[in-house]
Amino acid sequence: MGGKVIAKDSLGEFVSKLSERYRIFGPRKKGTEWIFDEVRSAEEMDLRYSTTILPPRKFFIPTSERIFSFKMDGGVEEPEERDGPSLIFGIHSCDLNALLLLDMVFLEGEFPSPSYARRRERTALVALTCIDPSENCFCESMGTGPSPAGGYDVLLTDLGREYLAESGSRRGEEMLALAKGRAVTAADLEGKAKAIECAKSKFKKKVDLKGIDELFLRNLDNPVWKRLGEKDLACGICVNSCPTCFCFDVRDQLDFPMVGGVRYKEWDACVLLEFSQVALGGNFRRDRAARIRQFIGHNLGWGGASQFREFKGRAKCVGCGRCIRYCPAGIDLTEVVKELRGI
Amino acid sequence: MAKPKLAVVKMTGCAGCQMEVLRIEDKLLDLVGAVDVAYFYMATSANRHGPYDVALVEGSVSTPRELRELKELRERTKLLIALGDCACSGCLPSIVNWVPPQESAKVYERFLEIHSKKESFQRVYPLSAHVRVDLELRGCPPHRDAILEALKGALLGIKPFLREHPVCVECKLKENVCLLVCEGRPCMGPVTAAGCGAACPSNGRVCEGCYGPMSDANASSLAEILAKRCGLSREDLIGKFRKYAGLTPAFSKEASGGI
Amino acid sequence: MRLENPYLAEECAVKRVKRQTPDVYTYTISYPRGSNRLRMPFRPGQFIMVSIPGIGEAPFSFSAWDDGKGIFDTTIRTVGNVTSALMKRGEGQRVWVRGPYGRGWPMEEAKGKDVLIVAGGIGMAPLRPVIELVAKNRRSYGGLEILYGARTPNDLLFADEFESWKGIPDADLLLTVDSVPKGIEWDHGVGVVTTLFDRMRTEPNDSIVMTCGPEIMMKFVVKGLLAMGFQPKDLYLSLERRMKCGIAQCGHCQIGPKFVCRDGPVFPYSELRGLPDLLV
Repeated sequence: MGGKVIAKDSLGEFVSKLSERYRIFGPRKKGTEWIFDEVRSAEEMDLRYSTTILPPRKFFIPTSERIFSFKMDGGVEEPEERDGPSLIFGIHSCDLNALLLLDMVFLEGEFPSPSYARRRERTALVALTCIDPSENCFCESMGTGPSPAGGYDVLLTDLGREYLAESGSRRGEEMLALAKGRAVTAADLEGKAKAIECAKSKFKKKVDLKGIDELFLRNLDNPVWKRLGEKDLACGICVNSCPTCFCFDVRDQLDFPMVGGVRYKEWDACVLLEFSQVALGGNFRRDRAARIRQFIGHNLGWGGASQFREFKGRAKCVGCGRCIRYCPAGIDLTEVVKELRGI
Repeated sequence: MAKPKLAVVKMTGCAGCQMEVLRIEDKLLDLVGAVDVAYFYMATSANRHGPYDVALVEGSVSTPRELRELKELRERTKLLIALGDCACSGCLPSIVNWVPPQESAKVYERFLEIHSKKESFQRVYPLSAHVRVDLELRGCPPHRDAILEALKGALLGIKPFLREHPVCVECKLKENVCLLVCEGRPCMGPVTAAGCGAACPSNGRVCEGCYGPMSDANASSLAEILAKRCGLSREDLIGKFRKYAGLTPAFSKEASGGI
Repeated sequence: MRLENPYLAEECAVKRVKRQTPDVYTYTISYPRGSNRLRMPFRPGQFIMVSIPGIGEAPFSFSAWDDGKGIFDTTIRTVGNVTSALMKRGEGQRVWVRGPYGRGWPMEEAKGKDVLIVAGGIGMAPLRPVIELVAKNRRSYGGLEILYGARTPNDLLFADEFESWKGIPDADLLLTVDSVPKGIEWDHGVGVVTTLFDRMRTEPNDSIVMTCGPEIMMKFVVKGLLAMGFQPKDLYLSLERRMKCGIAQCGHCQIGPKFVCRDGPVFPYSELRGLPDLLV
């Protein structure tokens, strides 16, 4: 696929050209943090962001989503799809890889999700090589960064005064045709490689994946879980900020005169007590220890087990660091792995 | 089929929960269409005595008269719903349980002459301390959507969906900046039941804990975090946990200073 | 290509409601005429998602299936919003049904082998079609032995069918209850279901065990049978977990790397051993 080198002061023009075709969502500052939000120009974005509060999965699996509406006396109506093409600008490698993992759950199973498929289809992705990983990042360990190997339409890499823009799809080619820039040289590609090397030298956290599924299954009774359960607030922040957590609840909501209502999905979290509750109050993960073990185990342990069909042997975790950044109790899954290994 | 008879009754509280029932506004007419509002002092002058199918009871029990009325109401009511924190967990009126009379006397100059004080119990408890409560709608006040959910549940004969998970869930789904983690402010969100839509944190204010403990509140861990991260003193922590639900088992230890 | 919304269900009719115990009812549900489910292959042990609009949706197993006619039974305890509403609305009501989903009992693997069924309480419901299938294809299977336990004689499901089960050639039915209330005649065993192991004739070799009941019961069933020489791969358990989608997406039913809705609900013990959040 082709590429271009775009001067930083031409980026605004590129974005404005793109905005004629797409609704653009990019990283925007919110207080001390960042969120992916609708933007109208390059100036509204902060491409030096570290990570966003919610991951980009919110665009593909909305936090709350109507499955259908119904009338009590019969009749079902599926939500209408009105949204046009949209574009996520500046998605980091970890979050992009997270979408590729979610694809395995919602597109590649026996019952693909039509709404997810539609949103993936109509959403272009402009990825960004991460040149300044945060103190909580460990995508390199997970093989998901700092620069993505694919899955993007366009990949931008900051080369100092310019961006190297590489296309990864036909849609990406069309997008790049809108950009003003010069041809890519060998020096630019070398610049990208150097930027990646430099980024790699900045990682402070690591996870050793060797035999990790076995490590978790062998350590189901390790005292570390009990200790974590005492600290854990079961607040759900780790799950809701995770880019690959896909669990949801399904509920019915009646409108008041009770002639009809909606069946809807809402994000759910395995660390919450109600998540595993069955009839008559039975619960197979009543203890917080079992629930935090499920979250961490699913992300790093059995989530990566070769028998786990969802992710074809890959770990669910992409190393974005959000669950570490936002945990009020200071629980750090990379430290948990070290403890399990007795390090 | 006759419309179910609804009563809205007040014990010791600020009447804010009843106000919230009135605030259902756009659905109020539908509500009046679906139920027979038999007793609602704040909304109608045509009040009738029971029996009732559903009673929403606001406030905690602080006088012998209230206790008598509550017991009578229970006998005349099929589904008794505690409306709001005072009714569910004691809330502000129950703070008196921790305060020696001398302390109150410092605030109220002619303390002994305050009528209600002479007539009232030394300790103030929620409804469930005295009668069977079928459903608790927590919050100070409960969210109007939860009140509607409860009434729909009553009409359909099903258990309504009330959020038992923490405020953090609603807060994070709104993509608020975490006041506790990012700004080091003493937020009660992680131990407090949701249902308010993270109202306070969405407006830049910490959660005060007005919905009381969530289903699996880890109060001791949060107390430690608030002390360490936000520098809260022992007294600060007592105040935080005592304010709305200090009588609940989940908060009682922290509300009484960790003893 | 337009993908179908997997949550859309078919409207079915509840033809008959039969009381089994004070809180367990069997609902006979019929698909509408012309439904493509009529020709749907059905395997005992699979489940369906049943819903009542406005109330909610819940997973239920089949307790019978009439091949080609699109009529099935589900036998359920009244415990939650959906089951209470089903019970109250009774015969003639409309319900939404989607499925069947999941991996059922190992009817193929069991061919030519002895079949041992160990059920506890409501756990007999998904095993009843196994008994019917074995009876119908009697020569494909070896001996059939049914061990069934419940809290009291009143909690035994399908009691009116026990005689016909006993009449199946080369079949035994052993019963036990935890306790017998005063005034009830009972000339079978008293004690947990594993106390029946002493009296059973099924041997570990060339046999398949199918068990369903409270997980704590299955724990002791598995323990007891392993001690008698049964192999982990021959012990099949049906598990209950919270399920909101039935199609391996909502995540509620996960046990380590397994989704109970897709990889189960029936599992050989050899696949469950060593996984988290299990009693067995």
